Amino acid sequence: MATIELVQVEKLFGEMHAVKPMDLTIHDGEFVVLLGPSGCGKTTTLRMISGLEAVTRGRILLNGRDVTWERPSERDIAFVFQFFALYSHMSARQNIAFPLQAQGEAKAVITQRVADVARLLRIEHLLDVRPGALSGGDQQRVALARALVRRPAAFLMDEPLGALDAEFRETMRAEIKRLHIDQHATTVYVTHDQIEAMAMGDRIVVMSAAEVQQVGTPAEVYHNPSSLFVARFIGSPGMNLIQGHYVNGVLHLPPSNRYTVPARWVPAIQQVVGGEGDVILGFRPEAAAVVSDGPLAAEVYAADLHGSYTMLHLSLGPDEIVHSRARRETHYPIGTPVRFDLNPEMVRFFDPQTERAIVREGVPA
Amino acid sequence: MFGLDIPLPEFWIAYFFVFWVLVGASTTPIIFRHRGQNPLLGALAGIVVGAIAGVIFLLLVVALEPVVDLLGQPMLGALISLIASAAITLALLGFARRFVPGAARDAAAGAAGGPRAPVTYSARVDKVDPNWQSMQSIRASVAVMLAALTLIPVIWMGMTAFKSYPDAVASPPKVAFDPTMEGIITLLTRRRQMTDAQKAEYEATEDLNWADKVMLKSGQAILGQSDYVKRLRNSLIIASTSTVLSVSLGLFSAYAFSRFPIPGKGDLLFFILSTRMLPPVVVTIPIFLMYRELGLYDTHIGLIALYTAFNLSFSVWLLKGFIDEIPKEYEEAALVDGYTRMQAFRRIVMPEAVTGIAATTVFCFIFAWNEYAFALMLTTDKARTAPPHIPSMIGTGLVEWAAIAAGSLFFLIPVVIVTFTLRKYLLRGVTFGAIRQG
Ligand SMILES: Nc1ncnc2c1ncn2[C@@H]1O[C@H](COP(=O)(O)OP(=O)(O)OP(=O)(O)O)[C@@H](O)[C@H]1O
Ligand SMILES: [Mg+2]
Repeated sequence: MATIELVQVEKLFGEMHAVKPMDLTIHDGEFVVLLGPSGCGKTTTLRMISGLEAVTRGRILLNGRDVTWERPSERDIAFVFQFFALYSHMSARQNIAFPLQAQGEAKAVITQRVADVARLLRIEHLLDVRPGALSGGDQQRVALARALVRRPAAFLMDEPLGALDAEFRETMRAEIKRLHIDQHATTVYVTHDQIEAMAMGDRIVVMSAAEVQQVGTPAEVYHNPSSLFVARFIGSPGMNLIQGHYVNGVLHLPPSNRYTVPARWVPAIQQVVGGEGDVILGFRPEAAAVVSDGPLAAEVYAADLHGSYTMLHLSLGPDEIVHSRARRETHYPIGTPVRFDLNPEMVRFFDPQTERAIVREGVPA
Repeated sequence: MFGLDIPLPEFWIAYFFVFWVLVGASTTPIIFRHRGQNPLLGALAGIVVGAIAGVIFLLLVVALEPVVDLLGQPMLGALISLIASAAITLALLGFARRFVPGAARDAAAGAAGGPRAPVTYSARVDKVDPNWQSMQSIRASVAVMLAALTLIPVIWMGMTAFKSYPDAVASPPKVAFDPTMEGIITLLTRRRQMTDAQKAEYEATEDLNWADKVMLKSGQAILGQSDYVKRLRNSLIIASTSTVLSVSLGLFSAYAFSRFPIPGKGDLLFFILSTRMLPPVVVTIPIFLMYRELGLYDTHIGLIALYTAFNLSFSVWLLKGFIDEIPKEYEEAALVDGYTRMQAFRRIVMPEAVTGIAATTVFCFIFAWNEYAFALMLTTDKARTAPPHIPSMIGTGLVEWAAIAAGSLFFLIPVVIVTFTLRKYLLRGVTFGAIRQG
């Protein structure tokens, strides 16, 4: 078991920053998810931790030991690749046994451990099949078995579910989570699927354009996004963001709404914009409720039933649509004028200049 | 043959006749099975029908002759008459199928058609159709006959190797003959012609082995081993060493080119390829002079180095294609699992590239084995290989055709062995990197 520490780790490919200097501490037994859109440097970060990619600057510590310049084979870390990288000329059994052979384990030990891990992943009946003949899910299990069998200090998984269909992903997601709880092994998991990240991570590292945007528990990144990017990226749909003009405790929103800012936010906002200035209001769909005496006026733009709830699209102006999560039975014809209110506990504010969240005491960034 | 004036040589008469028997014997059982009859019976009937078809075909060729003569183009005329005769014969065969007893289809299957027996094997719908299967059989017969045609020279060579001198030079050529080992022994030994007196004395010696006795018949005494064995050994040493070298060097360089950021990679690869752009014969003279100065003339090392250099460009390019197809994650997985790069190369890359390695090996071996021009220029005796040696056996005076045929036959064997051992990889290998990524 291990803690992994990245200190100002940075990677340049030529002139291009694939990963800008990042600090990150992954605690023993923690399940950390690297989340971000395609090309933001997740895989590169993972490869640097494993030693497959040399860092440009910075240090990587494993259990406090500096491993920055140690070979991959010396780090005792297992890697699960996106497309599994199973050896096609070996049976599943040989694939799983392969890492143990490197350690020079005795035959009997190898047989025993392969059998154990095969039972754990329910692939005993597939051990003599070659990877080419296995379904995607079974290939995934064999790849996991090959990583697990070593009992490494840490697991690195690069979009291990990316190649599976939606239904199967959910099964495997639960399976991996379950394995993690049983084994309690330090795991760094890469995905670009925010639902997967929310469901699996003890902590999420949100990355964008080679930079770490925010590190936090799923609840933290969901409720207190540190930037506009995180606010939009997490949740489906993302956070509602409306630009308004702040004047002395009141936020003027399009077309002619006036939203009275909760008193406890006023000092923080005034510290950033002074008495008057542009501010972005953010709130999750479930923070907005249609009520007859609500302070904000809008028009129903569309309403879709999502099974257990109805998502209302409310139009505040030509380009300002906000989402509101309403009860299942709710039904409004398109074009109905409505009024809605926001839960004061769940509103957030952002500075349009810096795109960062405005922080007030009691609500961590 | 049938007392007819057939405008075809006898060989072609037999050839076409065999073809039609093959067609009859392979298609009729299909029809019989489809009609619910015993296919074995069908095979018998097929041979008879095929023979009849053969006769009809040949008669048609005769009948068409005057028509074709009008064209005034002998080759074209022959071709047209063959095609027309074949078409008519095929049509007659198709018509004859009506007389095979039995209902064509299950009543239950009705107008929808379909085979009598349920299809319990994997097949596309149209391939279940007996017409399609018959066509396939006919195509197979054509392929077999064409293959036979190309094999005839090789078979002839094999036969000549076992002929005595009079049989080998007999005209017209003999198909039936008394096999003898004379040619092979002549090839492998040096002999002395004996006078009758010497012969009697020689015969009296006790320790004559069977080879001595064979040669005694033509009055020759065996003195020792001939040069051919040495030449074949040289060929084996030089071809296999240079093959191993070019494939292994090629594998390492291909791997490096495929995986590492080498400065000037593109230029280097082009340079390697460019060594192929000149016909090798152009540089024989400079190489000859160079080799003489360097003391490489008539040495094994000289030829091995030369063949390796020629094959290397080919092997680097071919193998690079195969290694590019192996995802680099394969080795990376091995690296994080505790293997060194060299171990990963040996245990992962090599087995994954085995198809490419096999294909490259066969191509390199065949080149080195068959190479003639340089072997002729750069060797005299010590390192001379078989290709320049075999024609030199023709020499002056009496030409030992049997010995030459035997020499060529032995010369074929290593290539056949190498190609056959590696054949299961070749089919995928010659399609050049058709490995799918997993
Ligand atoms: N070996 C390399 N040489 C040059 N550029 C590279 C290399 N590997 C990655 N990059 C670039 O670095 C950036 C980050 O790549 P990385 O693979 O880490 O992204 P990612 O977050 O894993 O994306 P994805 O979700 O698509 O896998 C990309 O712009 C990529 O093109
Ligand atoms: Mg990636």
